[in-house]
Amino acid sequence: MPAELRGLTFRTRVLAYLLAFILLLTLALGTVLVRSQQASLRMQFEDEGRTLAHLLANSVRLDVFASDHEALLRSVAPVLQNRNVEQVVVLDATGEVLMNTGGSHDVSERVPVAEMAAAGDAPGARDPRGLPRVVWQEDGERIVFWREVLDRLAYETPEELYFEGLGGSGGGASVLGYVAVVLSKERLRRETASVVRRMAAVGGGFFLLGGVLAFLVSREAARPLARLVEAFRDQGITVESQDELGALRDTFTSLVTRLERAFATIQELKEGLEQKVAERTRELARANEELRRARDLLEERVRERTAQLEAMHRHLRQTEKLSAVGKLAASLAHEINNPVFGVRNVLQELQRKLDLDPEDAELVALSIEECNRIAKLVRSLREFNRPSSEVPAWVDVHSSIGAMLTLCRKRFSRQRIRVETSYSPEVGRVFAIEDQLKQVILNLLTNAAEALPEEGGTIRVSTSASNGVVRIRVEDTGCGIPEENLERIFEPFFTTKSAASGTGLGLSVCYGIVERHGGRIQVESRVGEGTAFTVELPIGEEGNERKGSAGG
Amino acid sequence: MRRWWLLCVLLVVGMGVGEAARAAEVVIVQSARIRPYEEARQAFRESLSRRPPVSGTKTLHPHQFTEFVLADPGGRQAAARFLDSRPVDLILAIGGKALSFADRFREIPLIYTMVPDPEPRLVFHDRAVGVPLSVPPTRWVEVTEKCLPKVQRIGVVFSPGGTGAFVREARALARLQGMRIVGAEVRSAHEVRGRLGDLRGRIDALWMLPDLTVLTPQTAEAMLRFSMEERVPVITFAEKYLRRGAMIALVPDYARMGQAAAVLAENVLSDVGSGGARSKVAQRTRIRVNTEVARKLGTFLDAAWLDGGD
Ligand SMILES: Nc1ncnc2c1ncn2[C@@H]1O[C@H](COP(=O)(O)OP(=O)(O)OP(=O)(O)O)[C@@H](O)[C@H]1O
Ligand SMILES: [Mg+2]
Repeated sequence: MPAELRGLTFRTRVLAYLLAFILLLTLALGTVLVRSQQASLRMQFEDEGRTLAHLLANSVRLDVFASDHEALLRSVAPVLQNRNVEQVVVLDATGEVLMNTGGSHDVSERVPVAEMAAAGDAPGARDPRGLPRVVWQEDGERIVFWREVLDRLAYETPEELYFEGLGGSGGGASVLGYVAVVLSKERLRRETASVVRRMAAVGGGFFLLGGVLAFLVSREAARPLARLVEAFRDQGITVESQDELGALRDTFTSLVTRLERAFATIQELKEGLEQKVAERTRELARANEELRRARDLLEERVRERTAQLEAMHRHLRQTEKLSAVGKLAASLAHEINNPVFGVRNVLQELQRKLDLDPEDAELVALSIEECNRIAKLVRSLREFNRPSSEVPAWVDVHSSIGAMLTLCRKRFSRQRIRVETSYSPEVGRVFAIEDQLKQVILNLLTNAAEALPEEGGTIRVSTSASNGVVRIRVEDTGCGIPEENLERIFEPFFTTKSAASGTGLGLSVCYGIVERHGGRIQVESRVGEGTAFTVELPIGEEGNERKGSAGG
Repeated sequence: MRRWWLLCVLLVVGMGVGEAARAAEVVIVQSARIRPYEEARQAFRESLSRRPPVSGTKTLHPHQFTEFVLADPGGRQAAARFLDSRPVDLILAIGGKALSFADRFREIPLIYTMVPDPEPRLVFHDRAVGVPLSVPPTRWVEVTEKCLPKVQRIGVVFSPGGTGAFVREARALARLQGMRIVGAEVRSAHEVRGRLGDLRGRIDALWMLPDLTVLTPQTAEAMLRFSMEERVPVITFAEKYLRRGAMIALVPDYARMGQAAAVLAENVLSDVGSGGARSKVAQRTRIRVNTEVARKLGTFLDAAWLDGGD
């Protein structure tokens, strides 16, 4: 804002700005319009000259060819009607004047022959319409438009008399002469001046009208301001200076300061609130976390239980199956037992009474042997489901194991089997039927030995006790049991051994015995590494009995 | 059995090849690619093909045509190369430039057509025959008499070297028809305008003849302007002047010229020679009329005659 304007009222300033703007606008627009008008006038003027030169050059071809002065005058007359045309000159090819309409200016001295020829020859110098170029000379007063008068002077071949479009060499037109059309610039100047005058008048009018409008606008614009100042005065705020805007600015500044303070207070309050929200959010997140953990724990437990239930279910199924098979086997055994004994007795009688030749005697002995085998088989079958006829009593676990190991010693040493024992001192006696317990241990030891190769290996027997249960574990480093067989080894008659060496009843008998004692038998095995059988037996009627006998 | 078949097939094929070599090789050289030349060429080819040479007793072989247009880029060189390198039985030259070009190959029989002035163009060749592009004076007189029955005096600007003979002949013929020829003799084109001025008011029609000495773009324009100013119809020889203000044009039938050339060619190919020509194609002139000009000049045209005959 210029310094001189500062002290003035708002209205005066607005008026000054508007007036300055309108003045500049008027000047700029005026200049642009005058320029473009001048340019278009000039263009028209040039076009006119060119057109006249072309038309004239074409229309006087014949007259120039025949050097017919009168005809030339007749042809040129209409061109002279044009007010811009000052003079027309026609020359022949040698530059001699054929016709001159007269005038102060002598153009015949300055024929631009070379320029016109160059324009015609140079490729692209010709007009796109294929017309020869018009050359012009200009001085302060006038412009002279030059154009060659061109035509073909003769046909070269008789064919050309007949036909068009033959092409070939004879296409060139020759120069018959020149025409010069002299245009006076007087009128151009006059018209330009009148354009400037008109523009000045219009611009002045525009400026005046703009001034009046600016006055009205400034008054309208200042009115609300005046009302505002009035309102301030009514509120008791003093607006002193002549410059209402300055006063308003001061008042406004103070108001703004107050507002800023108010905003700052609001901001503080808002920040307090935000902090609280953040705290609550954190607490919520914590609670969420705990909940999630509790849920995970629960899920874990449910999974465990489910697994246990499933295991139990499997076991139950197995037990049912085996007991059904066992009953069937026992009843079968009973039915077989008597006939077999009968047969054996008969055979023994025969052996004793008859004097057989050695071959037959051997056959009979073999039959008796086979009968014994059947008897043994039947016995073991019955054992599988035998109702315990014997009475359980307290049995020392370690001494039972020891007795069985002693029984097997011979076989073990023959097979170069090393036996390791590891007895837990906590294991004492169990309430069980001794024979049956020994039978179980013997069966497990036999199986272990059979699993070991010829070169021998290690059998490890260990015991342990906890929660009223005694565990007897028999491990070997033998061939192991393939996964698919693990399920079936407790079934009667399941065996992988040859018919002579295995009946497949050993483990099923063990299973029956352990079940009847209220215990469990488990197997773990890895093919090629070894097998471990664990027998779990409840200690018996009185849980404290074990402790009492632990020492002895 | 198989072998016999094979032998027969081979024999037939072999005969075919042998015969094909006997078909005539015709080269057509054309000055430029304009419609009249094309018409003539087409007619020539058609009419020569329609009567193919009889060679042997059982097989007919069409002629081989090869065409060159001198005005085309590279056309002249291609034609020269071809003619130098191949055994050609006949050249047909269409147009004066083509004739000048073909004249150099003097060993090859040459036929021309559509050439207004064949003699000066034949420098080396002595056995060339052809159909010149011209309309005889009888036809001019006939057409003028029949078309414009009111015409008594016919103006003509001529040069003694160019159309002198033509005018002499025409003058005699016109007299028979009860007409008079008013001749204006010039020795250069510059005189034409003056001599036309002399004819002012003395003639009823103006003949524009194909004369290189008389006719230039300027003099043609002067004649047409004279026709307009004096209200005298112009009878001319080419369609291009018809467009610019002439009233009647006597135009040769280009297709007939092509056919005539074909007859000549046939004679040459069958060794009859130009002397013992088998047949001749009668030349024909077509009459083109610019009715617009006729209407504007107010000339009486015998339309009935125009429609009735050629
Ligand atoms: N310690 C072991 N190592 C590897 N395989 C074993 C072991 N114990 C048992 N088995 C497998 O279990 C199957 C069943 O054993 P079980 O004792 O019931 O029958 P058996 O030994 O074949 O015959 P037998 O009636 O003579 O004991 C055996 O055939 C064997 O394949
Ligand atoms: Mg066993």
